[in-house]
Amino acid sequence: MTKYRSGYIQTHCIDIFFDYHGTPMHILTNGNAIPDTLNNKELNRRIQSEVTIKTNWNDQSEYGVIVNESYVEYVKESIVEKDYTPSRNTILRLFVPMAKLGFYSYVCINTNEHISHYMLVARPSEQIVKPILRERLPIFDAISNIIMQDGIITEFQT
Amino acid sequence: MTRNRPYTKQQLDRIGLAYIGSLINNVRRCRIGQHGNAWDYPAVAVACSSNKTPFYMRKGHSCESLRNPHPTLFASYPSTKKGTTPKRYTREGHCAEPHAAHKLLNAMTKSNKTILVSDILFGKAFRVIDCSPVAYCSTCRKTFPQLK
Ligand SMILES: [Zn+2]
Repeated sequence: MTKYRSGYIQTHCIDIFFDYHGTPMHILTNGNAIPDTLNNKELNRRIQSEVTIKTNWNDQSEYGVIVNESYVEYVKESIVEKDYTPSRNTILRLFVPMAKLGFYSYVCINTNEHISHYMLVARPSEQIVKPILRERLPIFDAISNIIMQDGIITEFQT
Repeated sequence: MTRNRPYTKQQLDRIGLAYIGSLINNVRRCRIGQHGNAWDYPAVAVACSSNKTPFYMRKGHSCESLRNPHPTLFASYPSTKKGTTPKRYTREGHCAEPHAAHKLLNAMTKSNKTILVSDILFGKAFRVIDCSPVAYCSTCRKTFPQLK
């Protein structure tokens, strides 16, 4: 099994896919750590390929998706020069298509010590319909690795 | 194309933002087997240009360390200047700024022009996933004193 190197992880935003108690999950690392059990480059790249092929990147609508408005506000509030505030579509463009495929889509907002903090960005609005992939999503469901608040996973131990 | 005046910061910002569009397309094309080896989005992208003729412009994104940084860039790394490796900094050569500067300095060298690190004008650094501006890190501010 080949792992992503630490220098690569620190300088890239990597889409990671896994299954949490039956819920398909997507996280965008944003230069932060990858939970060690999910650091499987070959498997993750096979899933990335399948997901990319199945995604309609031209569809910008939020139909069938619930967006976490706190995340949109979080990005906008973090910008000092307001002239440079990205549009809502730009903020959401890598997350909404994942939610349309059936993933709960998260972004990593920081890593402290061995804990990474995540924000839910978008999720499917209907009951979860698992994305149909040839590749099985890796299971990542050790309860000690995950902290939930209000039913939403907010932290993973890495 | 030869320019007769330097790029402005605003022009470099627009170039940096347009560059992000091409980086995202490259990732999609790579993942469906059409092009290259860019499997993942770089964290940050930036454009920079020379304040001296020829007014070249180059773009860069965050990536693992530069193996052979241009000598002018290397001489400006905080660890080279102080003779110590910084501890709590971003690793030298990981950020988008040194990657862009390295390409620019190489292009200038090829044209037999010598510029200083302080002759490089940078646009804003932008996060690739959502195009929001990000602050230059402390390593970059030490490497390129013109960055505030
Ligand atoms: Zn930097």
